Amino acid sequence: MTAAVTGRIFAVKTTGGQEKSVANFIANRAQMRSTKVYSILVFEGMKGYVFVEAPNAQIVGESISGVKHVKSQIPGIIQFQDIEKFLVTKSIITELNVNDKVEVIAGPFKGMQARITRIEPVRKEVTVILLDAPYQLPVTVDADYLKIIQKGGS
Amino acid sequence: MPREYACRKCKSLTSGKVCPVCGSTNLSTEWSGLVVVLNPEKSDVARSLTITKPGRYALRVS
Repeated sequence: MTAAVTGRIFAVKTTGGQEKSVANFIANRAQMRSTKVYSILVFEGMKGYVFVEAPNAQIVGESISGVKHVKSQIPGIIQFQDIEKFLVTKSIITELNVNDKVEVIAGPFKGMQARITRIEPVRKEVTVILLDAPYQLPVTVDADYLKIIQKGGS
Repeated sequence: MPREYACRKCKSLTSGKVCPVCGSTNLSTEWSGLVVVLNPEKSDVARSLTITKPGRYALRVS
């Protein structure tokens, strides 16, 4: 049985790239005025939107009024089930396979493309061969540092 | 704005060298997503993420 829903989630449209500053401003204002905002969410993949968890839309409206970079409040309530999948982030290592083409998104090899040669699920490490290097250079990196570009060995 | 670090253990964000929530020093600069929890008792989001203390948290830490 699921727990009773206490807060409702409302979407707020913001200027792209300013989501975190808007979230911080709303949080500071909510703390100063002791309004009933329960939480504020910013998802990396959803540019231009901030999600506010509060008992009703009026409280959200009050907390965003006059805030710089806020464009509008989206009418309606977002179902918790719809955003839940964004909250629980499973490790990318379960989706990786040998011979997948990947891009290194963090660390000293950031921005380089590579092909997977070995996966160590226990240590969450992946050995890749950098494709941008002039010679075959196997490197072991954290699985979270990789983004899949192409599945399989084609 | 000072650089923020995310705790690899509890995902809390801090600009210091020690996590203010769990006291861990295992911090990362590679984080994404943001959750500001103001009322963990009433927040479904905090319950889903098993957050019990108010504060700023990352959604993904690498």
